[in-house]
Amino acid sequence: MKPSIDPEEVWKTLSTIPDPEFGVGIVDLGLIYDVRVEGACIHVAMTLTTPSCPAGSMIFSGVKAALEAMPGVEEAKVELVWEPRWTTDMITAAGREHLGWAPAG
Amino acid sequence: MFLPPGRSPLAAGATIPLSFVAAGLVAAVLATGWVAFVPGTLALPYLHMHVVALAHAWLLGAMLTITFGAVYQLLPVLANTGFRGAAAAWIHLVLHLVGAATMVFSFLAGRMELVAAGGALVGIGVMLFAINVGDTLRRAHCLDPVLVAFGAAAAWLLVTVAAGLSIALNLHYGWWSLDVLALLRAHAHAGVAGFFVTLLQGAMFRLVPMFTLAEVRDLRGAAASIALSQLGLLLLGPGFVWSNVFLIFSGTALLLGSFLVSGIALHRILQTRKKRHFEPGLRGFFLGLFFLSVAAIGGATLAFGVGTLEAALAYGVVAVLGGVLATIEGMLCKIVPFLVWMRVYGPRVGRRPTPVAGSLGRAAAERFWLRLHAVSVVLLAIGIVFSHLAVLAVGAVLFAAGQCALLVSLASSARHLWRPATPGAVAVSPRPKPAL
Repeated sequence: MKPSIDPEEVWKTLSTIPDPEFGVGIVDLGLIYDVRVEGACIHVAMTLTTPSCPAGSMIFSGVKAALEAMPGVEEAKVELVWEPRWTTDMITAAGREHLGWAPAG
Repeated sequence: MFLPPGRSPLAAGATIPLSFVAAGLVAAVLATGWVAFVPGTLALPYLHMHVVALAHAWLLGAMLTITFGAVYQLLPVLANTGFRGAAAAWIHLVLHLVGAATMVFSFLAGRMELVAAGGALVGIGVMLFAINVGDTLRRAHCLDPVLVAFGAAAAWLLVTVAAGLSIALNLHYGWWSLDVLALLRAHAHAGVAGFFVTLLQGAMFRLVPMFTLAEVRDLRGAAASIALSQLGLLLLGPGFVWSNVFLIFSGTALLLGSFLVSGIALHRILQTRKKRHFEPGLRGFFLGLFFLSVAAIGGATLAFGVGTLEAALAYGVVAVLGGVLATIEGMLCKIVPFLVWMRVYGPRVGRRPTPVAGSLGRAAAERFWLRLHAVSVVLLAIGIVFSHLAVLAVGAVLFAAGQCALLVSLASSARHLWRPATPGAVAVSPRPKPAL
């Protein structure tokens, strides 16, 4: 029986992928909406900062490649969604700190 | 919405924009050398052929060439259409470079028929460019004010070329009686304000939010500022041609109003930004907007007939070198590393560590450029107004030093095209110092 994939590991893997302009991981930018693990298959729903993001196709294919390189993963299904629309409010506290703002509290 | 797999967001793999930018930078180096080694050119009357040649070396050779490359890359991205027309763009590049070089050398030789011949080549290139812009806009899903500004800018460029060609041909053949000075003013303003300012007013409402992670809740400010500037330009043109003070004054007032509306809208956008610190490139862009505003106020004073011939040339230098050049070069600090990153490191995302696009250039060199550019433009303007050759010479040397610093940073980015960073050497995510 194949070992199950830990969703936390999936999030960790996704967080290693930075946005090329800001250097903030796509998880901290709030671009990953959902992660589901079904056996050896990973489902990810993600968005982009804007539909016209010039690096969008590269980030999209990079997410798929990074997930499929994880041990035990047979397939990564990455879905690009536009609802809800991404806003800067979706950036995490860590992301905001990376962008030069003081930590909250 | 999102370009389908297999369709690259890069115009011909970024080779078209990067080739235009590289050619424009070569022209900028030559024009910078001219300013540095013959600063006295700027002390000549502004209708002197050497001044006209220098102006065309900067505007046609450097700034327009770079801007063409940027538009070929940027517009299809903003319109979500994908780039089309690579062959025509390459022909455009060749026509433009040959035409611009012919024009500059013919101005120096005082051969207006050759100026017209060079202008015709530039004009054919501009038509190819305008067709490309029109085709991209036609394929866009919806036309917002930003995209409309790109179309309007292309139209102003056609007007500029037509006016310039008319002047050159008429100076040679003397077909009809014209006030050359009035037409030259219309030609210069159609080019600088019509093309460059319209383009800037549109593009900044997409680029600045993109580079600062700011929210654009609506584009009403952009729409209002672009509408005002277009109305102002439509009044300015006939005002210059017919030397009608009322039209010139009304057009200038509308342009100033459009600058004010743009500034307020941009300020509101920046208040929502999530990236706290501005990089040198963005600061350079803002410096250019500041100089353009100063030039607009200066232009309004000149419209009242206040000022000397020297003041008019200083106005041009502040608008062109201080304003337009700083905005273009500021954006180059962002665009060149990003294009290089897309070409070299984009395919590696998720597979190997990739550097941040902004780390490909040299921030320290860009900061040096920014400071020198601000100081040198002020010195050049003072030197021109007071016909002070020593101040002009110092300003010219500082200006050239700033341009060299900028080139160092851009070359550092371009180096990655041939020598990509090894995975072990990649600084994945430099963390800026948080604000207290």
